[in-house]
Amino acid sequence: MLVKKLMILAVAAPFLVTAPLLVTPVSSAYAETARETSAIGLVEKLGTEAVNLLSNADVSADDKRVGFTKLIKTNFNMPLIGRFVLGKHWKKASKEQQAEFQSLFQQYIIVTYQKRIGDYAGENLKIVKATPLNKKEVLVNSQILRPKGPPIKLDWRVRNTKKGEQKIIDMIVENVSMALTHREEFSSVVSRNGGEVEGLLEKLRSHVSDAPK
Amino acid sequence: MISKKFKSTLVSSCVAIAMAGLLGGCATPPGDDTTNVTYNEVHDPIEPLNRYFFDVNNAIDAVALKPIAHIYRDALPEGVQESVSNFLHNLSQPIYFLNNIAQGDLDGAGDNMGAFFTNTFLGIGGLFDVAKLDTQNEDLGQTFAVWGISEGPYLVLPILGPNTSREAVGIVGEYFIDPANLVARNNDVANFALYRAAGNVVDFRSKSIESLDEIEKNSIDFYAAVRSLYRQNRKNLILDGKGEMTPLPDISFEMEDDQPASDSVSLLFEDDDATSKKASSIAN
Repeated sequence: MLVKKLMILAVAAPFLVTAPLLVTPVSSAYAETARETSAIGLVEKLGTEAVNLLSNADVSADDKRVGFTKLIKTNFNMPLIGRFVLGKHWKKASKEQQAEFQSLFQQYIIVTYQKRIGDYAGENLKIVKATPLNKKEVLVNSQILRPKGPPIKLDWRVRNTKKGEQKIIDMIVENVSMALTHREEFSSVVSRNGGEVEGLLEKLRSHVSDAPK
Repeated sequence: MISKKFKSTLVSSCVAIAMAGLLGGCATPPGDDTTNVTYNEVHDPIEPLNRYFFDVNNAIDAVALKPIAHIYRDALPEGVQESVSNFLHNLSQPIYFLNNIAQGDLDGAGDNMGAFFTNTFLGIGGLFDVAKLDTQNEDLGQTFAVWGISEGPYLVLPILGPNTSREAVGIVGEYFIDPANLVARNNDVANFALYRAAGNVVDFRSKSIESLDEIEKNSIDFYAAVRSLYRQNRKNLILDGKGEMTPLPDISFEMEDDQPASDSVSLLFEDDDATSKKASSIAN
């Protein structure tokens, strides 16, 4: 009898312990995990699609550019990043300059990162975890595993847009924010041209048109 | 007995420290001039001089350092290069140890001590990393940062490259207190610190050929890109890469007359409604 009682206890004990845990989580905690899971999904999907597209030798260079542009547009909140990158100079720029900057910045990003991803061969993206930063943002931690050398830490900052879609707003490589790096660089170019946004646009125009297609 | 050479380096270093202090003194924030809007973010009051040395350093790099780094990387077997790295890193463990103690990071200091003795004896003088403790670089500049000394203006030193004034003072101070240098000095090993520094430079440069080329090619202002990368990386090193949260810039939309806090890049922004509308019209 005692044995039977003990057995029941042994089986039931885990439930008794976990029961309060199962009851306490409120719906927000569930939403929290859903947010993290979808952010991880976003990064994972982007990683696979980008590598598949850019390392595929059968796809023509033009198609690669078109495909990659589409990937960037759908997964990154480019307008927001662009505005952050222009920083204080945004207000000074005219409507036309703002529009031209956004379009040039997008081309600049595509030219720069398409090459970078295309060069990565035999490297894998491993998602580590996702942590909520605040009500709107999630930080996805990942690693680039290289055939030799230690893994590179790569974090993705994902934020909900007004419409509730999740989009990437920053990539942080070994704790170095790419958005901030571009911002400080662009800001310096504007300052060196007497605080005129036109100087930056000029530089970007020539950089983008010089880039190998 | 202090040797004559040591005395002369002492004098020159004192001059260097005084210079750095002087430069720090000049760092009064400029007014609301448009060309200085980046001041608070980048803290680079002697930018023209820095740019000059940056160009000089790049020229030296192109004719001397980069070719050596290329030869070193391509001609020597990977195993040898790794051993050189290990050896140089092991040589620095005693100073990392001292810095970790000064920073109050006793766990880190313990790792430094363990790695040093294990690798020196079992790893044949540090040629092999037997301990595998993955110890980080800890220099005097980082210790100053932990003590609350602010980084001061950005400084590009001839040959030494990107620094902040705090780090520059740290480099000079470290030359004198580094146990490896002290041992070499007491045993009259000529130019030890110089060879060691050269080794460190070639080791670093050979590992960064591609990444630096890449940054140069993709940037529209190489100087500013390096400055930003350098400072962000320093912050990461000071936090020992294990800050609970990745340090993040505040990304949202700027408010009209909002002044950024002096030592951070935190910028307050307005709501993104207007922009997302504008943006969608551009994106399509």
